[in-house]
Amino acid sequence: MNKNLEIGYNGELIAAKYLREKKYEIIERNYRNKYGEIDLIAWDKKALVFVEVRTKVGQQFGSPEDSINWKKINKLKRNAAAYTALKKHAGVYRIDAVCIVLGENSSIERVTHYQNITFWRVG
Amino acid sequence: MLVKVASALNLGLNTMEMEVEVNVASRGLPAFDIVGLPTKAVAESKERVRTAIINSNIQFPERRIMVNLAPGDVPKEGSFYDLPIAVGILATVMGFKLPEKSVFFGELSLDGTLRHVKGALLLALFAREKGIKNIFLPKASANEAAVVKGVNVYPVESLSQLLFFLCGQITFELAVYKVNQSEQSVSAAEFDMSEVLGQEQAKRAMEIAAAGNHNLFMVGSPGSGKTMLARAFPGILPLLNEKESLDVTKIYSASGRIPPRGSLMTTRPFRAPHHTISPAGLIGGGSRIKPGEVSLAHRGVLFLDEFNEFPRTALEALRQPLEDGCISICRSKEKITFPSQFTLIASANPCPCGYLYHPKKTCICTRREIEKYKKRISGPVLDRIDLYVEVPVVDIKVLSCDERIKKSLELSEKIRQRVVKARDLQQRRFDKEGIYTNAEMRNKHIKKYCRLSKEVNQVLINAGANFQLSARAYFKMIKIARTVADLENVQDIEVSHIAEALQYRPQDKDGG
Repeated sequence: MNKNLEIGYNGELIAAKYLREKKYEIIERNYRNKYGEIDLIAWDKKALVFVEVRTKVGQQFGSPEDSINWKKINKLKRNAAAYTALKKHAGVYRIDAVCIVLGENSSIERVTHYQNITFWRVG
Repeated sequence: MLVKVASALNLGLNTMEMEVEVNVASRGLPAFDIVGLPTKAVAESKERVRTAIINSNIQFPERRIMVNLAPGDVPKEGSFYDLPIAVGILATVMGFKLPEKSVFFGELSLDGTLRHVKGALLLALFAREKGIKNIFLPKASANEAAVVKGVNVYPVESLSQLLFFLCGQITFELAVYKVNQSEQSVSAAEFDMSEVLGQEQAKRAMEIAAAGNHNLFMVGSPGSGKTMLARAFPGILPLLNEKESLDVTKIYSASGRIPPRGSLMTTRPFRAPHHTISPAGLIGGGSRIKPGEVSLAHRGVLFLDEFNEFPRTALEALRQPLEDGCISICRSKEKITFPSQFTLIASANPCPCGYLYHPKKTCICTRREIEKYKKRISGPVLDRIDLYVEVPVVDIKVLSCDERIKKSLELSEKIRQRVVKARDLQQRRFDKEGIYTNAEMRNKHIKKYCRLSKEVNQVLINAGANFQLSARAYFKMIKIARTVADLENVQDIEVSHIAEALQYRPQDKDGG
């Protein structure tokens, strides 16, 4: 496996574990359709949550938060809409982000969970 | 869930009912959208509302929020809709009932406090007219609204305070109108009339102009004191009466010129725009129509220094406001009428170099140059000016005269007392006519209030032939004579009054 893919995969594992601890029920991983990919889909009580996981080793090349741009958010919105339509979900849903920074030897420096990133004003 | 919050919309000096509809959906992706033709400042209210709610320690709902500003076809301008939007959102989330017959108006600061807004007075007047009982306004703007009796003005300090009130946890102290002392004491005049040495004729003309609200044109060489005289003019004007004060404050409130915690304006405005002003700046206009200098000078003074230097388009545009006392501005999207009943004081040099008719210096202008200079002001504009006065050069000897003479010069206050008396007389006379001063008289008023004896009429007819008076100028002479008579507290116009009025006609020294 390519090194960056491996980092991303590890990040998603960390995020899933983190969310499970927060009592989220994860129902999909790496859900793919023609609009792109959603890293995690989970239930937070009655809300359906689409989670984008971003992982970085160190922050010298920018923080994981910085790497989420409006294009990605728009993609997620479209994808989430498609998913809710497909599954006939008629309730509240939202888009979250989990940003993870890893240390040199794969140690976890921080995990930050952002609820509802739809309002992020990003470049 | 849908909540409707009443608010209002200011268009020029008119106010319209507006409804803020807030719908918080129970499905879908969290979003926050505003529809109903919001301009930039309104669209940005999203960010202010969201941050203010969060900073008031209330969770912002992660729901799909749709705000509609109805009616949807009128462009919404300004930042006053923050408060109704925030109240609407919180009402849906927290489920409190909004008080009946209430309007909300205000701009939110990011920390959840409310900021001063323009147009609070207009809103209060509108509320009284429409039978709206309660208005919720930022505390800084509440005072000007509290002038209006019969409406409960709630001075809101912050969003959280308002919420506690709406949830029934605290009570509000209604705003009570307080006269702002610091504003009252501001004396409008820079100079006192007694500081101007000589220039007795000009001072007399100013007294007449102040007493009857007549327009005045001063011509004189550079440095003769034209500007100083004009700057001293506010000092001899009476204060605004109650109705005038409300009218003037309305204009200033609509254009956001009333300071926070400000009260009604009592001194007459004095506007002195520079001659590089654009026609829209002078008359009013812009893509969102705003009052111009002529309206900001309503019931006050518009001083145009270096009259000939103003752009011709701007000067010609003065015709309607000078004649009608109001200005209608029509643009493709809207038509707005602003009042503009002002005293015009214009000043100019006699020629480009400035020394024509100077007793000692020689004018270096060619005849053509002088003609060109004079032509910059058209006949129709000149015809609308009542009083012409020459401001001659003051002899240096007079300037260095001894203190005794200086002390004998009249103080502004003394002149003002005479002006106030004359104006009181006019106000009583025109009580039922809807006007205040002699200059506003229409022909029917002149017929009614300016009876001329045979003798006086003969003088006027002779003068009309000699001076080639236009019909308008003829009536202007009568109006000025009326003011002169009022200053003397005389019932009927006498020959001496007409004779004085005739002195303020433009004099053509070149004899044709």
